[in-house]
Amino acid sequence: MKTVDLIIIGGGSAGLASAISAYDNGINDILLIERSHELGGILNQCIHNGFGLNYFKEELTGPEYAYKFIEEFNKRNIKFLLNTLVSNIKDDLTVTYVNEDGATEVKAKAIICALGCNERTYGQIMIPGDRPNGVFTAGLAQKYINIDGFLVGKNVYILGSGDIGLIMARRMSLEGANVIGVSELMPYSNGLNRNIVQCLNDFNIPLRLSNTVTKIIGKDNLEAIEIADVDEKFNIIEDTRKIIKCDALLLSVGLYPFINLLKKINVKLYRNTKGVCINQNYQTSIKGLFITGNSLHVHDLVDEVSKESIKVGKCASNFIKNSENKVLKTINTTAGNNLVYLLPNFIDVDDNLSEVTFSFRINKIINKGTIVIRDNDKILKKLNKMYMVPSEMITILLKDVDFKNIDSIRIDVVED
Amino acid sequence: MEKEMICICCPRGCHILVNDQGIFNYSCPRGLQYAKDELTHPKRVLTTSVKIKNPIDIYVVPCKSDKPLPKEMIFDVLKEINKVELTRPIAMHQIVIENVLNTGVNIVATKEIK
Repeated sequence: MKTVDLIIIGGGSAGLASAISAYDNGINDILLIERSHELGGILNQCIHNGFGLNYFKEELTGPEYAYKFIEEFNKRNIKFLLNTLVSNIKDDLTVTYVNEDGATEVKAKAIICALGCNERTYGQIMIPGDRPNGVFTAGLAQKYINIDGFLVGKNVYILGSGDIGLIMARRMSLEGANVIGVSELMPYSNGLNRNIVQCLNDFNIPLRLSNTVTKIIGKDNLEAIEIADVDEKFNIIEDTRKIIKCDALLLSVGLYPFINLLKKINVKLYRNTKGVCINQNYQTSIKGLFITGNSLHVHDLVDEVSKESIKVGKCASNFIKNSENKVLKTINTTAGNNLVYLLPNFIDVDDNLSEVTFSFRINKIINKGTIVIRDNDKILKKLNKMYMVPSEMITILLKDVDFKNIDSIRIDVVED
Repeated sequence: MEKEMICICCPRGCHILVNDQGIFNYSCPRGLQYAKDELTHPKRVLTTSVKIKNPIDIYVVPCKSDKPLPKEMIFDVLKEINKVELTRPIAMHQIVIENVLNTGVNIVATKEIK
């Protein structure tokens, strides 16, 4: 069987950055596997601008952001396969991939999963009614319009006010479609304010908050939808039901890590992210199996994915070079009050561990609050923070503590 | 007069306040310029796509205006872009339309297609 030092699954923003970083940290025997016909991943279809302000200090479109990383990647002598699908991973780090040449098995010293995320579909949110053509996830409609050059409808309705939904509202309008409106179940939008301004307000597209699609109507093709307002417990308010004629419904109702490959092996899963558990080095419960980007947790900005993946590339190289220190103890972490999830899930303490960065999301808008990190009754760190919202990932650095004397870590966000 | 506007220059989305005393609560020079433009002559960067004459795998190439365009001209510029078809290979930042509708703004490709 063929062997390599490092296999990276996925050639999007996470895969590219981790490959570059691993290479620069001394690992030259890398194989990156990408299922599409080109590198760059989902950035290729995100043709709008606003990427890179954080990482490159300039405003780029998705393909331009990808191009910068692809150029860096190509400068290094990193092997990669396109049009190649990984069909299996085993817990001894053997990978099976399939392409034109058939199926091949390769064994690696370490694997980085950079698989990205999936969109929730209408089956998953169980909208009642028919199942006609014309209902798309927003990202799929985005691929059709921006890569394949097809407009998926002329009279479009959008459910969900996440950024992809808002971006698609503008995109469809620019291509001549009539975007009738956007419904959002929550009393607030999950999208960035700038996108509400430049994608909805600029095109006079109404945003209906506390409103949802209650029925899909159409035998073969979508003919209409029914929308209705909901109360604070998300119960439908009967006399607000309204029929809207449309030929396309786009869903922007959430993303979750794509980890189907990992479910077949004994990786410890993490319900809160719908992903997997990791330690502070982004290593899963299987030694040598690392994970990064949106397949770990869904990020707000690609800039954050790049930064995270550069760290993960380094962690995987240290593992391959055997330069990891002996683990003295393992500390478990807990997502406390108002947290949706907390990463990492466990901390492997060694002699050199000096700091850990935690990432989490909260479950409601908190205008003024305090982030508290504690070890049972002992407070390790307290930080006041204004304007915390569910749509923004929060990171906090814990350092200057003696990890060897910590038994457990719990993070709470307390409203002031 | 008092007006609050949300800055669209970056994901931070500052709430800029404009009143008789001046422009407040912006966090960078771009935000200040945005507020001035928004009050006098709103502008937007346009991102869209152009048809490829000889496509393989990808049927349209993404493009953008290399500077913000006057907001009211966006749909006229789109009509101009719809008239164009590009032939592969296409270079990154290759000019699709120079000085579109005499705005002083170029439409450029934002992807390399070999």
